Amino acid sequence: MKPVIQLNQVHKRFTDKKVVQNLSFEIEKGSFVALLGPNGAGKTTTISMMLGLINQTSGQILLFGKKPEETAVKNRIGAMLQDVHLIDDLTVEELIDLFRHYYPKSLPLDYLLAVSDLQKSRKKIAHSLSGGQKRRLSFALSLAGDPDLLFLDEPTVGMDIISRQLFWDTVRKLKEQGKTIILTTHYLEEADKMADRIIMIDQGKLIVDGTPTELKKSTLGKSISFIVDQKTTTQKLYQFPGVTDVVWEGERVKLYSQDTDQLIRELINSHLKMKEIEISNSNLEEAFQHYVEKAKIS
Amino acid sequence: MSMFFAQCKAEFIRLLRRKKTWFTSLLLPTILYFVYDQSHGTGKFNGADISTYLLMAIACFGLVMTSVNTLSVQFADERKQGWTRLLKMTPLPNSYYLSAKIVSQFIINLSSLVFLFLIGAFTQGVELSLWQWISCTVWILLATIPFMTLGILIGTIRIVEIVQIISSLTMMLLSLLGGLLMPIQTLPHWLQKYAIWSPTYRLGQGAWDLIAGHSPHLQAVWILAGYAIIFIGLATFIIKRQEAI
Repeated sequence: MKPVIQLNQVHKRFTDKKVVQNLSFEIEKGSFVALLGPNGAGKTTTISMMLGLINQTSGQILLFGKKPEETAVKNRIGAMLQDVHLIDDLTVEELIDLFRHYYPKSLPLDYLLAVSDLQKSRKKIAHSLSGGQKRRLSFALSLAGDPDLLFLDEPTVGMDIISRQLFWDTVRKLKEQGKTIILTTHYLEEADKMADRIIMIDQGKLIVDGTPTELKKSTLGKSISFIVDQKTTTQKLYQFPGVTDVVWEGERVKLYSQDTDQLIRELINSHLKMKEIEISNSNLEEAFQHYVEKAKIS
Repeated sequence: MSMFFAQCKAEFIRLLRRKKTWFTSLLLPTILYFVYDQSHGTGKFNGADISTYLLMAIACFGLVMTSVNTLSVQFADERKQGWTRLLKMTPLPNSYYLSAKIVSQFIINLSSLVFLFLIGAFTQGVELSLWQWISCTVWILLATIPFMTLGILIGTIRIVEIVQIISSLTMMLLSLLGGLLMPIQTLPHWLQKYAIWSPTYRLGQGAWDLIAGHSPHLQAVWILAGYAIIFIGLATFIIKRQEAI
């Protein structure tokens, strides 16, 4: 089967600034891909090119095997963009209904109001909504045409915790229906929880592409940290089985190991005087920093 | 087709909800007409009754002012706010977006004309044959199209405040030049030579011809069509260049 998205040696230059360089990847139907990178890495530019909002300088971008600006493609995509101010003087339901008319097949108005939790505000003028409500309305608009491919560019900025929960529940259901979803976010734990593939870019170049688990494995791994008296030496801590690294942060020490379950048992048995123990799985945050640093060196 | 209809409906609702629409297309022309008509008394001008002549002049003035103002400011604003960017990724064709704006403005303009003509007929005693009422309405409506395209052209400047100033200034000057606020004969002689080429003069001239009992000059039709083509051509060229990044 053909991939939903194909990027082949895509370059984008704004006057003399190279924003995207030689970007190539393919995205299969039904995958949930997080596109991550530091600010100014070229994420929004890449998404804008995929949506046909701006043209690439060279290279090829295909969605469903066609160019992004074709109507056949637009009929099948939806997007929640950043910095879009909704037009004035229309109510929430009028705006959603207008978008429903743009697409050959559309989702029912009541469903769209429900997933964006805007039933109570349906008669309100869209312009007067709060920041979080506007984000939710953008979500409803992005789903209006029952898209097969959904772009979510920093979707949860400005949403409160309850809205976020409803939002991710809905997105999870969409994923189960086999929709392809592309996410960019600053909240790495969201990407970690939701995505089954992560593409990291920095300075317009692809730096790593893999599953969240793969990415996290390549970093130092899981860790246990605690406060211990200063008499305990680094050397002594290295003697515990499986410890790969010891890092001191003041009187707090952090031990890295692939098997933290075994390590915690050993530590307790050794009667070491530990206080305020914290066990943490390696997170995407660390993997992210690791790869960005690595890309800078090379 | 239902897509286009939905777009027109949305744009029309938006116009109705704006207080500015009511002010510029109903209140302002009505007040202007009363003031002008009171100060000019009775008599004949250009082969027609003065009240009738003024009614047509003010009707044209009101329509071009609201058309240019509304379209230019809306267009500039919606581009600045990223709204057109959002629409660009939907299947809605760009031409639908602009033509829906023009169609809704058309309906507002028609209502504004009918309202003003009723005021003229029932309060200022303007007398015209049914054919003249209808032909004047149709002429003024159609001859306002070049001004709508001018509005879109001005709206390609992306700074809303500047668009507001430029569109008001342009329309005031064009209305003065074209004899919509005072007869072209009051202008200096050298200026009159240029004034007859202005779209505002040709718009008014057609209506004044109709109330004087003859049909509009064919030349007026060509000049107005020419302006419409130039404005929309320029606007399309500028939009294409701005978007080719």
